[in-house]
Amino acid sequence: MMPIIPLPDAVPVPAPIWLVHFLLLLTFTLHLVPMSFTLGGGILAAVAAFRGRRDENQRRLSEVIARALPSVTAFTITTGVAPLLFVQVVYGQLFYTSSVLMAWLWMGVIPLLIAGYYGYYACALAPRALGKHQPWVATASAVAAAAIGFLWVMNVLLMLSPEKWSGIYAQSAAGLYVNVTDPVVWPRFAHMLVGALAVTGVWIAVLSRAQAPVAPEFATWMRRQGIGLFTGATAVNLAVGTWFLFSLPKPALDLFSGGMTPSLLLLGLGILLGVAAIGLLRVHLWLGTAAIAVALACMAILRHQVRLSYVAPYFNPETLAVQPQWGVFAIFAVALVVALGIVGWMTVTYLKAGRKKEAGSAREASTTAS
Amino acid sequence: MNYPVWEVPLLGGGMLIAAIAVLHVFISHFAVGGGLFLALTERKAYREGDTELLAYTRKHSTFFVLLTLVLGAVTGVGIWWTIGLVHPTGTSALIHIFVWGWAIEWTFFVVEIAAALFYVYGWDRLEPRTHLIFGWIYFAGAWLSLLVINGILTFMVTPGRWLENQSFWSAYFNPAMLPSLLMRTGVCVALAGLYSLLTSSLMAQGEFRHRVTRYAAKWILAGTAVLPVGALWFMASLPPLARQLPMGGAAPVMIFTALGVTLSAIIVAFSLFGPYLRPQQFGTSYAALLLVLGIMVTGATEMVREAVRKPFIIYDYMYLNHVRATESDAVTRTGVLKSALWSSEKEVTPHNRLAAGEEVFRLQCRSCHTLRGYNGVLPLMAGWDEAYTDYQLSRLSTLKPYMPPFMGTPEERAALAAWLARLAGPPSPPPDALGVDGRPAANALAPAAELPVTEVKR
Repeated sequence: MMPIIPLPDAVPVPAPIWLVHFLLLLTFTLHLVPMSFTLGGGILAAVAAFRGRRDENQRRLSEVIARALPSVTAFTITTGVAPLLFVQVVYGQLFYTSSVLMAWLWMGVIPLLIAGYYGYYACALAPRALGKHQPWVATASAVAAAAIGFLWVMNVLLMLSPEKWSGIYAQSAAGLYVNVTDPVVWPRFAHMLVGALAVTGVWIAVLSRAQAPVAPEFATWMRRQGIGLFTGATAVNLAVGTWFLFSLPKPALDLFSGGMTPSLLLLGLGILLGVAAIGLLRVHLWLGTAAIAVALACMAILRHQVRLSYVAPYFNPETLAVQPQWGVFAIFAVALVVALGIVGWMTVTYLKAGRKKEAGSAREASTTAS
Repeated sequence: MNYPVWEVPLLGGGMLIAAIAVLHVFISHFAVGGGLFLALTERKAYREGDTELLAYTRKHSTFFVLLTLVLGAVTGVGIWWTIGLVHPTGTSALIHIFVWGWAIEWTFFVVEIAAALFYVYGWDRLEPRTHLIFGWIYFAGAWLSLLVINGILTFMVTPGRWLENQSFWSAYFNPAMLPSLLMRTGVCVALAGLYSLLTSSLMAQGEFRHRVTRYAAKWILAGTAVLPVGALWFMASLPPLARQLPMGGAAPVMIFTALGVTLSAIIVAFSLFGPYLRPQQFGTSYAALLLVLGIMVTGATEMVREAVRKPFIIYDYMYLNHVRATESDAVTRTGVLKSALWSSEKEVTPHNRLAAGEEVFRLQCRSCHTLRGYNGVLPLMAGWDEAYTDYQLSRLSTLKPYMPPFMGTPEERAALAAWLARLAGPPSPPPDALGVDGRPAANALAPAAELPVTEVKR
């Protein structure tokens, strides 16, 4: 029996589907970078805060991460809004349905985000006021971030499983479905969690550079910690990723079998770059970081291929009615370039001003950090 | 008709949206006006060499970022979440009609957030001139973001020529767009003053506190000054029915309108005679009172803005029950149960009458009504029997123009009436309907009584 699937929206898509897919993948890949730190950095900040009770370097590490977390969380949200828009443009009829079936849980993302975000701000701005509770606040915020990730995995998998929907809805329209029986949920969540920790390792290595002028020894230690975290998490993720891969249903798994398929090549490239980055990060930080960025893009594309294979029996995005609005699109493109230009200019100005101040006096440098 | 329905008990989906939206509106308009406030106040402090004012602006900016970037931004995402769950069809339409509008707004949002962070962390780090430029960039990003979203919101009540030509530009530059923009900008400025009264009462001392209190009150007076013009212009741009509702067409809408206007006037009076004329007598509790009044005005006016759109989600395009205006006749002919993708009952039979009635309720009524909670239908039906309920349903949009017509076959309408009447319980029967022992005469409740209660409370 064919499952019930809502009709796509009657209003045509205002751009070719490939363009929406491109923007979806681009913005999703961008989202992965701050999102990983919001989750992995939160976990690491909490762990380092507990260990920091006896270890000065750990305490400082926790402090550095805590200071960065609120701003990075802001960008997790801003970069997350765009892919969520584009996914609704093409896959809205799937996404809204699965969201309704787990409505109360899905709503949970909002209070969790508010609580976790304020927790991060508390750790960053008022660590002394929190006193010995600070590690616990960091832990609670990291747990909130992980819970949001888990709710996300549940929903994006339920959205791809239309065959389950009518059964769930017939049971209850209360929006309380908990999608934990899907065998892919746990390995997918684990893969994302460990991946977030790996990317956090790179963040730590990059952030250590800002410490170099004021505390060179700590900076070296921090950089080693970051690369160590990346190495360990990537090694674990080879195993977790394999678990995830083989948990996928047959149509998705078929993408990777039957010779050198594009998906298999992409997977190989992603893994290769990830493993190569372990060595690269040690010799050249930016080259290693670039390799990881490309690996993340590979994984985002693979995720998309897997999504298409899931929905192939029911829905082909290419069949959607398209009526391009190039005029408004051009305004968006210009606005995007101008926005990136302004943000880039502000970033450079801000960093340059910081270096000037550092050269000026150590006192002012510490005020800036607070 | 296209999506499963989320049943939100007691509160109802609409109230859930409203609760989050009111909070968001109250903070997000401050996020825009507060940006202008920060930039202009910082400039004033530099020009006048006022170190106290500069120190206050700095403290106020931390409060500003903590409130707007976290609670303001996330409740905005929260509205998107809730409308997608309560009105997936309407949300999908808004997303699809305005894809690039949302995308453009997103670029402003990115600039806004980045500028806010650099601004608040940059007080010691950046040269005053650069810092001020960052402040202006923030305000520009925030106001442009409002510019886009305001047009999308007014599109819902006055879609204008889009209904004929489906052009993005007709949709965006709709009749109510400019008046609403004027009104919202005024609200932004007024809220900047309202929040500043709170922070200045907490952060400033002595004579300086009087000065900054008076300064903040000026923002409230300036912002509210444009509201009467904006509101009248906005009303003039509305369709006739939407204009009538707040003017007596629907009692609750009229009450909320009156409440909004009266409380706004009270805020203006309290700001003028309190902080503006007697800043020395002004304190934190007074500021908190004004903020509470402010959030009440936001609640009342948001209710009115949502209500004047009735019976549509998008005026003349999509009804509140998610049926497009062009499809309503077809749904009435074919039947709502057959038209709805997710209905558990596909037609009314003698055996499933109550279950079918419940399903019709879910499809036709749930998006606005609960049973006994907010906007609950059962209290509204007090004293109605099944026949009278069916009569009301058959003339729904004539008797209550702010409601969509009942869309479905006469059998479906009768099933809904039977189910509702069964839940409402027996009305006080007229004396001749009573049997000898005072109980209802046989057959008085026959259709419902034939079915087991478990089927009613499935």
